[in-house]
Amino acid sequence: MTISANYLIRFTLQSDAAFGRGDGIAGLVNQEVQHDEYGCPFLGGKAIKGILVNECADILAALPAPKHATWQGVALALFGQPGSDQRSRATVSIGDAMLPQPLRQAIGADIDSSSPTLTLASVLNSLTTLRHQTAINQQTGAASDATLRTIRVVLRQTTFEAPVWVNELRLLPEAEGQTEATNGAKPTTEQLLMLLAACLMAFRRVGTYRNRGLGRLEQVQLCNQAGEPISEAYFKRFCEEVRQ
Amino acid sequence: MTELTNGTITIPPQVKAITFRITLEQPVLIGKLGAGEENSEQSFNYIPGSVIRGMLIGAYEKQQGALQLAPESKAWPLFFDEQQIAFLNAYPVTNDDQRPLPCPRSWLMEKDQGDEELAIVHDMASPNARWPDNPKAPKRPFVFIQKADTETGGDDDPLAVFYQPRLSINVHNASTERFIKREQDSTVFRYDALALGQHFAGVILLHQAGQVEQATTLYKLLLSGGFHIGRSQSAGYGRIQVDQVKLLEQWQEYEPMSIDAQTVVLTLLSDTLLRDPEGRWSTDINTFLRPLGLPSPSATYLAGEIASGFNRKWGLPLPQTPALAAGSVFIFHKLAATERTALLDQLRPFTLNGIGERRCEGFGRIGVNAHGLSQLSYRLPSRTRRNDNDENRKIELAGPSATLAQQMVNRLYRELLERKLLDAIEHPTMKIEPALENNQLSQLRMVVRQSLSEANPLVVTNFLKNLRSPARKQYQKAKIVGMSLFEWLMAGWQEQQIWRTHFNIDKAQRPHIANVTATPTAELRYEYTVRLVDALCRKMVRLNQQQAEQKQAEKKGVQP
Repeated sequence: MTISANYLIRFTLQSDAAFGRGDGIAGLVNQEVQHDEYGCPFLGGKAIKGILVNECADILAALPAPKHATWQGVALALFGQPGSDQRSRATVSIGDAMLPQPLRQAIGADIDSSSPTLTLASVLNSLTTLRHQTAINQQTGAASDATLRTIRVVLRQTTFEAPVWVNELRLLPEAEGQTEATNGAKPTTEQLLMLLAACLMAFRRVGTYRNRGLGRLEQVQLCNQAGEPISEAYFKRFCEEVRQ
Repeated sequence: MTELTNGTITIPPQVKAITFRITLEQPVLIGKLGAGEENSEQSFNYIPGSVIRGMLIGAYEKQQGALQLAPESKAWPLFFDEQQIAFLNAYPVTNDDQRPLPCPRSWLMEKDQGDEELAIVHDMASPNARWPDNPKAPKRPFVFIQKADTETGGDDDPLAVFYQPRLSINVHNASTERFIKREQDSTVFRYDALALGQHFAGVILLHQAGQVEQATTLYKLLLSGGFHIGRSQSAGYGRIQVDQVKLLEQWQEYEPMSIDAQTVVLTLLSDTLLRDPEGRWSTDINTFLRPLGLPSPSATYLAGEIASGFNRKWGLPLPQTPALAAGSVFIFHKLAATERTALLDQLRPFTLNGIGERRCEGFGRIGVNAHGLSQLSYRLPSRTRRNDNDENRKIELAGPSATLAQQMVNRLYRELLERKLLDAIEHPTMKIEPALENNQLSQLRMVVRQSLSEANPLVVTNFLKNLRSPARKQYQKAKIVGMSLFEWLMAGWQEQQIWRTHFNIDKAQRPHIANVTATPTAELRYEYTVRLVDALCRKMVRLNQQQAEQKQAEKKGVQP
């Protein structure tokens, strides 16, 4: 299935990563990675958006007062705000970060064929490995009882792509008689992309245990529909804007 | 016939229905009541008509460049006038792109037959139906009735092909404080969403003749690009695509069946909202039948639901109202011929327009004699498998996909080689007889491992060539797989005989993904050759030890 998207977030794992899904397999893995029906690991869009929102908050906190208000409005339009009505919705939709589409298609085509050579288990095993860890008893220096844990990690150098859609309807002006948002005019698509590029520059780690060595990223890029990286250019413009 | 200005399609002047297929590019979460926990959500197992209407309104507003559809606008009746239009629920599509219907609640099976192919489904709507000994309703929610498959020698019962949408269950964790995940500050919740990759069949009905302009508008909106529907649209949920849009002058929601001549079966094909004469919500079908002078049903198989919804314009939930659930069945038995004809004639208009409230959103669909035979044959949808010649099999991977695929097949290839190594070592013929001494075996192990770490095969061949005469004689005397150990090792190193005998795999059998195949490199071949010899030596050391222990035990047994 081909997914259409306005943009792509592409990144490669520099260290192994654990995209936990909250459960495991009894007797084998305490924490399994998220994977689809063909065994291809993926990282949920909600996780990516959560990390980008956190980075955005840090970026905004570093901006001086007049810039902060402007870009706060852009951030609210970009990521949305709490509430369930139309006005609070995000302009950008971030999909799950998955393996490159042609690869997933090829794997799916093989598994669904009448003579498959791949299975879910073989696909998963070829992209991941198991890591074991245990707690050490501080007094004895030996492993503590009942603390052996096994987590599945996605191997380093795996590339993921997350589709990004921009819903420009939410940037349209209000109809006559409706009041504008208190923070001024609606942001433009360019501003949204500039801020998104800045957040992606800060997007360095992902997944479980990301503060303990797992999930380090490299080559994080925002790409256009043709697959060309555009984040550097937009980030440069963002820097120029905030330095003015 | 009216043509669009770009000349690409022709709109039939009496277009009655627009059918289309929805494909889920992401999981879709359209929350319904009763998820249990306040943050978790469980999705409907279909796409409600109100959601389809909402997505088209959004597309219309985007097209018009305005954020609001005004009541006085020309398009308002297109989306909200029940006399003109109805957006039906999109149900999971069948293998041949048909739209199935909710399973009638008068259908029962034997409890222990569960999901068994060829099991009998008994329809209690028929006066001739047999009540099962241990009755249980079919567990799959949607069904498509097909004629009997007599060509393949099947029996005469029509086939009931059952469908069940797949759900994907995802657990998420939200924190009130940034970067903090702990009991007091985090909430774990789960979304049971419709899994991606599925297809749903949607229909928009145009009730009035000559609605060419409306049909054109809707046609263009459906093909205007992808949509986002449901909850959590900004993060991993809700993306859909619409295709196979067709404009039809003739369309029917079901094919009426010829059933018992004294019976009429009225089935709800979607949830239905009725009001009694005092305006109160009611789940009594007589509130619909009585004002028309129609008789009460003689038997009913029904269930209730709570219909709700959410209005994004105002950010408020809709009132929760009691409804008759889809699949409820009302049976009129023992009707005289004239009574039956009159009943059918009076119900017929409602099969097009629906009954009750919110018909524009797909509520209130009914079927008359959509089923009613005493039994059907249970079937599951056949899983479509692609041919080897299918276009998708000709995928050519390049760039990052090819790099990743190569890493994957290489790892799978290593797994295969590991298994072959184990098989080779455990084979009974894989031993050296007469065995070398342990010190000689250990020496051989050290040499081969040194050659691997230095990536230099000459270390081994030079070692063999420079063996002193007593050692050389022992190497030549010791046999393995019918050869002397000396010859076996020399052939293994100089002619790659060990690799060819124990590890070679045809290219067709090697792991591959599309055009990317695992290929043995010189390093890989050498590594496994060395590991085989190393493992062999270790095995022989163990066997020597076992033999020594056995001899000692025997000596002790012999001594008085």
